Amino acid sequence: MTTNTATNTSQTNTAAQSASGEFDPITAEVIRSAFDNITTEMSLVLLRTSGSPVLTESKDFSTVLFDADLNQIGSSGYILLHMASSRRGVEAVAKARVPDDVQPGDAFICNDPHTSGALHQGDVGIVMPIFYGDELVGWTFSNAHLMDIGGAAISGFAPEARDTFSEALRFPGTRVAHNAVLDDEWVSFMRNNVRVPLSFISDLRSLVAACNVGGERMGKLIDEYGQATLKKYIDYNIKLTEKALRERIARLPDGTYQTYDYVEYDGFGDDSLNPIFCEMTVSGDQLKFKFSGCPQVAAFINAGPSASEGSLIAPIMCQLAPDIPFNEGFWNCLEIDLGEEGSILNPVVPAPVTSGHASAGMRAGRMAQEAVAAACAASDDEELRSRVSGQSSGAVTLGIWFGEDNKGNPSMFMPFGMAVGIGGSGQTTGDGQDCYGMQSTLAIKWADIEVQELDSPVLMLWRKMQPNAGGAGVTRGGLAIDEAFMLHGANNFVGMNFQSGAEIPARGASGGLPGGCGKAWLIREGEVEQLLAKGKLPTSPELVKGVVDNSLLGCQTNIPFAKGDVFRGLGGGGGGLGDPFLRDPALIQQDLIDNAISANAAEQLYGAVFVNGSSTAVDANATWANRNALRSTLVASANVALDKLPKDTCHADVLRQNGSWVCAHCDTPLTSANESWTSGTQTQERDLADLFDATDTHIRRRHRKPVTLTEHYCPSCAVCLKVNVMVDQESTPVYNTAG
Amino acid sequence: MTANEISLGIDVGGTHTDLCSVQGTNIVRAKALTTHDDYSVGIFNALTNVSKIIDISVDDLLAKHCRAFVNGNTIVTNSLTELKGATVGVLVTGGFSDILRVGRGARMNVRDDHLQRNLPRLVPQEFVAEIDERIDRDGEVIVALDHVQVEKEVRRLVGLGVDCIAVCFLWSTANGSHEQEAEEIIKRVAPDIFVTQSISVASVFREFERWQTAILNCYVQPPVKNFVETVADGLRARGYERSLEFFNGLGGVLTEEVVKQVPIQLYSSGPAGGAVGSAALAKRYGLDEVLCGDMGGTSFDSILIHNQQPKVVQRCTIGRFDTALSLLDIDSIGAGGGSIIHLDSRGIPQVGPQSAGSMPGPVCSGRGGTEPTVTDCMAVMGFIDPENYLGGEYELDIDAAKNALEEKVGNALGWDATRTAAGAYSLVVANMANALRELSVSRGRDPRKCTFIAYGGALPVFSASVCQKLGITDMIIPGQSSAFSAYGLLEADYIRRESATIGWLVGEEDGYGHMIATRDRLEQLIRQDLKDAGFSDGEMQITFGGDFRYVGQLAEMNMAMAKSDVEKDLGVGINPVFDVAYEEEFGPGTAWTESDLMLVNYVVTGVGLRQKPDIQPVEAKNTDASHAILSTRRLFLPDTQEWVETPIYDADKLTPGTTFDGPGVIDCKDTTIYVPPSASIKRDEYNNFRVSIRAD
Repeated sequence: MTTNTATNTSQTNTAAQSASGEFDPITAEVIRSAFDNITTEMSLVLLRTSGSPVLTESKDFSTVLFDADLNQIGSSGYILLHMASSRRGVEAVAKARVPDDVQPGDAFICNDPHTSGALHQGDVGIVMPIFYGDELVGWTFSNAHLMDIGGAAISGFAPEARDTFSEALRFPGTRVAHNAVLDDEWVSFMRNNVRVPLSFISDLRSLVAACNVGGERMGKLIDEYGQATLKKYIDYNIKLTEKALRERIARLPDGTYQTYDYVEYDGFGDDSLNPIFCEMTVSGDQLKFKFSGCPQVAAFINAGPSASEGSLIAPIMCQLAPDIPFNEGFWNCLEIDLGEEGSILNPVVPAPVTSGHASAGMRAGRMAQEAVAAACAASDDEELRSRVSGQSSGAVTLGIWFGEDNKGNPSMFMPFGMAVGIGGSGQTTGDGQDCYGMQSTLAIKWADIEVQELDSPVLMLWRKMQPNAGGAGVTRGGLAIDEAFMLHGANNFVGMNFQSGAEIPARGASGGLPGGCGKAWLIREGEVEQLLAKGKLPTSPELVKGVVDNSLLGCQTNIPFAKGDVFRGLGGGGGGLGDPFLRDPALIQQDLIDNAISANAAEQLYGAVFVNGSSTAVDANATWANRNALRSTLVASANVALDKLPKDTCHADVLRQNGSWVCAHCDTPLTSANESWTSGTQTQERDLADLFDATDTHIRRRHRKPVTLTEHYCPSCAVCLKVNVMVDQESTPVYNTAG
Repeated sequence: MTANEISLGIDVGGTHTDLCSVQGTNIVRAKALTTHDDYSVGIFNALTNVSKIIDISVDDLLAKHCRAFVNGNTIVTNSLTELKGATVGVLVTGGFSDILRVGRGARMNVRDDHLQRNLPRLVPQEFVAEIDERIDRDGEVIVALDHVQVEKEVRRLVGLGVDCIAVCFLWSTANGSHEQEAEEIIKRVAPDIFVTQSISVASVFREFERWQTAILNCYVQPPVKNFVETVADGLRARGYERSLEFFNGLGGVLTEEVVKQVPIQLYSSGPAGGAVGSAALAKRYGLDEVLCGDMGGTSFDSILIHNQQPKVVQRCTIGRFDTALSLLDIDSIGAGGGSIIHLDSRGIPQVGPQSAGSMPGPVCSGRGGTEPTVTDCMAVMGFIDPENYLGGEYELDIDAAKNALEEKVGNALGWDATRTAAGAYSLVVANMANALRELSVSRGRDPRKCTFIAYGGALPVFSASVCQKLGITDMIIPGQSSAFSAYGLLEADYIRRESATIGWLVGEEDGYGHMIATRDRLEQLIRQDLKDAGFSDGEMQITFGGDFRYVGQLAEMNMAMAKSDVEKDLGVGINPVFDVAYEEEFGPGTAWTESDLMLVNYVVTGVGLRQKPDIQPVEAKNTDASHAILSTRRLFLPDTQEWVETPIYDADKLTPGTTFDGPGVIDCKDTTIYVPPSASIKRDEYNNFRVSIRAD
């Protein structure tokens, strides 16, 4: 299936129009902010009434407003992935129901990635029509990650399902409410089918209430402006956004930017890596994404269409055009081709999809992020070049556990911190944000230790920032979380676990290194009880000791978890930006003081030299001298003086000059501009797991098809310009700019 | 109070120090510039200005007449905005020190990756000491406090030069013994160090907010102590002998002694004084639903007043710091007089959030500002009296404002300065209306049923238009609009609030005894506190309440209750009452009637009743206002989008009972009130302006 959302490419001259008095920019802006206000109001209704911690504490929800032509006209932020699911959800309902089968107060449930645009079955969308009198004038959409939706999928994740029929209930846009009141028959059916019926029904009511409020407010806005005027300004606002984004895209150099990634899955013991590709084409003011991938697999990692589309809109919204108000105009500038049907990025029934957004979809987003960054890097435009960054981590480590506590009460425990406490990428403005979440998850949060312990029979052992998780660079990637817990007040739980990024990390940009991976351990027969009895806190794996249960796979369910066992999970870190040998030694020293990096990492990744006897004080002069010496050995042809390079080009890799690619640091030509510039560099290959082991950074070592790091150095000044992460030399990203 | 007694409310803001003096029914206001290097200088300048008006020397005023001195200030806000505060050390439960760095996640609901930065660091890593100790949710000691380690770490921190130490342990709310023991060790090892236990500032669960509050309390202690002592010494040196009271963010006042222990309680943003003043007005007028707002140089601040009580919000966020504080629920957006008008990347005009502040300020003030601001728009539209700009201190340069508006915004749209200014006016009004709508809706109220109380020097130009946008028909502009926040300070009571996390299921015997014991302990604590502050039993009002939630939810809702409500049949009568309150807040059908109800935190509030200004209505004679017209001025009216020769009324000549229909402008010297064509205004029996706005 090819999704071609490009519609109207005709340019509108807004200034001329406003001068002619046809459109008033002020009215346009007042109406636009009214739409945002409506979606904010919808989100407040949701936040204030929901019982799901993933919603109220973690902000895993969204609210979106559409006009009658299914144009997205307002949204409340939060989960950007839902910008795609809302479009597909509303479209699924409208196509099947309009004009005869839709009444005021109807609410339709959409949670199926295959048919109604959901990211996974646990993300439940509600779609309601907006009527003005008896005319259909728009749609409201609200979505939240609910605690459960039945089936094998616990809270929406089924790591071991072989097909989508074994996952969870799937609703293709099913009517569940009349007059904004949930249907009793359906409620009793659901009550029978979900694990936590009370919270499910209450959240469903909240979602309907949110949509309903949105519809009411839209009606008032029509009262105020009249339908014709409102419609005119909706279109005008979409055109304004589209025009601004097209101007932005036009500033990117035309060309194709190809990149790749692998989707991990080892749930059936075969440690497969599933390759996917993305080709982004900049052509004038149009941006085209063409995806492809291996055939769909019989595991929950296939990405339904919204997971890929929603992931790729994030770099456009957060990186390329964070200043342009979001609406349908964004989609109008994009052409998205998900590739052949039946692939991992364009799956068909019966492909299982419950981790589509956290697995293949997340990887699709990271590819888009990298392609956008590459286009920005290739631009001559300083503002766009400032938007270059590596990949943020998408490495989700999630465990969901249940059982009965010692009082016989059923309990479910979902430590969300290790799932969302993952690092952002290094930015041209500074180090990446720690625990940033995915690029598509704005405002993501997790619960306090005390909230988790009050609600579930667990004792948290630590919650730390993981040193070295942030990929090394001039600005490094953001750090990730490291936490561990044991049962306390319960004896036996079972659970599921998956790690979506344990082997293939988030890549850096412009010579920055990849971030650490997300990972989990199950530790049995540890010494926790003995330590506690001795009055000592088990605050690290070294203290916990015990035996790591090697049977724990990256994707697994029905894992027994008993009193005394310890579960430890890590999030992944963000990619670094720029050659780490160009990082200011003073920042390295601060990182050491803050325990953001270890001494090993400082020495081996950053070439730091310590002041005699100190493990934190960095000798800046000696560090630069050491860096120069190391690079001179590595790149024999070079005349190395890293400390003399101009600092303002630290984030760049190469520039185009007079038909050639030149090193951005020393202006030395590498290749002609129509070749792949990496062919003109000197390279070094290293085993990534070896390097990470030596620098106290986490990764799950692959024994079959190990992961290689390929570093490209300028042959003249020896600055590292690019770092690739590759498996078996299978592929390399290629960036070709036209002209 | 006797006729000679005077109460002084002094609001020390970022730019101005406002003073309001109340003597019987005589209310007088004065202003001076705030002096940031020594705030007492600005305070004495304001006192000098008021002394001239009431014709009593400053010394006589302080030594003989002044009965109460209530101060509101922005010391805490300044310290946290500028990140200037104490060197703080922290003792924290082992394994959890990084919670201080990352909290529950730093990502904001902001798209731009460049703005996604880590939380500001108040405490560098080396000043945080992890301690072996652990208590579980039931208060059971899992690992006893390691006293030797505490002593060693305290000595290390003192060696690093800390001024204060915050003690932050998990589940201290369930068992406070470890935090207490740690404080005792610190006091023994380093008696001069200021110590804050996390439960002493917030005895509620959710460690991040509680710990953060303790750390903030330490962080702001030196600047607050310095401020309080400077002001107190200054006043005492001039003969003032009574107690000083300081306004806090909960809308009450605190004594000097309490402020020194819990300096973070001084946190309050600009309009909190006005909120308390508005609540007093709501009571005077018998209004149940009130929205009130204030517009400063950089922001528009608003708050909802329900049943004559300003809304209090729990778990407040101060800047980027999540705290466990309960404060007046003030909402702030970047729409002030100094907000800059600019074009966004689509070529559409925007107002703020960037602000020119007071320096360089608006272009029209001629102090070097080059970016057109909201104030410049008002000057261009004729709303600012060129003869009396900023009390005549500055020449109003309208041409410069016009040029800036055209150059930076208008030219690209083919607009002249007037049209650009009027467009910005509409945007400011829309932004304020959106903020007010969000504020009322998120608290379950319909803005159209509210009365809007608008105060401050800048807001009354916009407020009637804001009402029109929201469908509000009733508005009050206080007679002392520009100094209303200072006036509000005098309407505040002494307020103390204590809460404790208990987690009792309503109706259960399990935990009942603990809940009752906690209630009684909190009440005792509050009564003792009020007694120490000098209130007799008759002057105390003790109210009880709880933060409740349905089991399965995570957010609590506060509800007041009688002391005995929890006692009758183990409190089962609370359930239906809570259901009703919940649905009133969140809408019909939203109550989780099938769920158990948990009393998460018991809350006891003690109010020490202070003597208030004795405001009496005066006779209002229904008269025509034509005698009060000073002149006419050509104004560009935002409603009709045309220049209209508009009457300017002298506020002093508008006696109680005087009425007129818009369009018109009232000149109050430091405030301009705009009455649009669709509104009429009346000076009422309390000398306030009551505006009726006809719905469109």
